[in-house]
Amino acid sequence: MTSPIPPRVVPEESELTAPYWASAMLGRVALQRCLDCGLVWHPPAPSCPAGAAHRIEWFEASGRGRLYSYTVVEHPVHPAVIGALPYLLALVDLDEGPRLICNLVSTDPSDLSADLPVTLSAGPAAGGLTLPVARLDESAR
Amino acid sequence: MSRVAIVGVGQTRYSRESGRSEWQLAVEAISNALTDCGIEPADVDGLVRYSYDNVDEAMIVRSFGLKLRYYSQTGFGGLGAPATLAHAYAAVASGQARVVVCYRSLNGRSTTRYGRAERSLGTGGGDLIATGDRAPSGAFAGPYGMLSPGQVMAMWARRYQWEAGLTEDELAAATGRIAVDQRAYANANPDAVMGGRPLDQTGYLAGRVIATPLRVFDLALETDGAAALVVTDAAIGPRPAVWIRSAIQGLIPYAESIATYGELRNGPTYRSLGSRLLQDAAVRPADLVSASIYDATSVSVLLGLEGYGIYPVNRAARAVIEHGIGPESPLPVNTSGGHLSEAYVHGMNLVIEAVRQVRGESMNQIPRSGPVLVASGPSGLVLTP
Ligand SMILES: [Zn+2]
Repeated sequence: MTSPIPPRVVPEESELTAPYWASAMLGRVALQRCLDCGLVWHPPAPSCPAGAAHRIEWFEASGRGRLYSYTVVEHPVHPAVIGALPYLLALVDLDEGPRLICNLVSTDPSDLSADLPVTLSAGPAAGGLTLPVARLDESAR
Repeated sequence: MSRVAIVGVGQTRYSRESGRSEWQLAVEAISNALTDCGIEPADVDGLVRYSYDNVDEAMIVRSFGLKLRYYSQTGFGGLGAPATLAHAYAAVASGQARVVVCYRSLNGRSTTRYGRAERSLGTGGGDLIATGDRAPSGAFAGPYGMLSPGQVMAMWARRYQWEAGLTEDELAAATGRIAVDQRAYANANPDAVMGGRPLDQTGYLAGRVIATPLRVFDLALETDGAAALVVTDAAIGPRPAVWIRSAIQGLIPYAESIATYGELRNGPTYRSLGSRLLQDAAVRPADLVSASIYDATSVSVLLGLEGYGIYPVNRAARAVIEHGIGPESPLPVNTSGGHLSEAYVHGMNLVIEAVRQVRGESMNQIPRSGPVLVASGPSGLVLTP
């Protein structure tokens, strides 16, 4: 018996978020930055939180950050991710400031502690796409 | 000070399968709340509901033949529970309405399960579409398998563990104590879904892991049921009036109900909102007799105890390990069993329990009279006799 291919979980894109996803599909993290005050934020927004009239641009983040938190997901809440169990969800505070939700791969959770350095690059997301995922930055430990 | 009171409360049976529509459940809960205070439907002129509720104002207006002059909605899920009362408080105090009914109705187990992701993912071309930019299940979360509130709160729990300098076992001792103490309350509450099922720390630790460090007993139940409250400007009816002394309905960046990007719920902005709520009621944390703290997960109770100034930041876990949240603790919390063990009516059953404590009618009555806190993240109420 062949099992059916599980559905993938894919992001809905909009005019606002298309630049983010164009980079993410290549394993890179694109962020918005304010040209007037330097603020960086995520998720994408139509204006700088410090001033709606400020001019904003997209740029490619360094892909470096620190582990804010993580969880090992053991219980399936949707059939689409049963094949990925158990998987590590992480919150990463990027060096540029914003926090990103991603998976943490190639990692033994017993090694994890607050604010460990991580790098982001293309890898397997639990929902079936290839997206930026975090790996422990062994060189920085 | 304006005089606004909660005079009636009502609910349906709480179950895993109501066998009835959410509309029927809402009508039953509202009828019971009106009977509780002896107010006729003809005297109701305001309604407040959750924006999430499938039972809209028009359905209630039709069911009772109401002629409204005020209605409003509260957003962001469970933050809306105390917020519905905050709206009613404002409407009555300003004279926009005289009698306001607040309600929540959901078939949260048999129909729309908040612990499952099916409700939030769309479908298209064989794929599942993660929409919006919120967690869980939004575009930036769903593709990574972040699909349930419990997974987000597991991340809160881990960060709290690290910031409070706890081992995983110490965190489990604190969250387990919350689950065990709330279950003991539920065991004395005939309305509680988990009423007949005792739980101890060994049983808690044996619970299935959902998302580390949280186990099944750390998570809210999924329940079918409805709850309603009646608010007016005088002590009406046979029950003791429960006065609303202060209310707050905060919203700060990334503080929507299940946030991943902002500060933890014991952070400085939350503490400032919590302290404002108590100040407005001229109440100190030590004056509180009991509290209803929104427990989508056990860790929300720890964060709420710190956010509302009951314990200093990063100190609640050790205090709870030592004293618990039971009847003999410094501040008894979720004395009906809460969402973990009574029922999950999206915060409204917690508001009803706070009213019962102030009236002296709880199944786990705390034998002191005084102010009671209702807290759900950045939304809260202080109630007094
Ligand atoms: Zn700016």
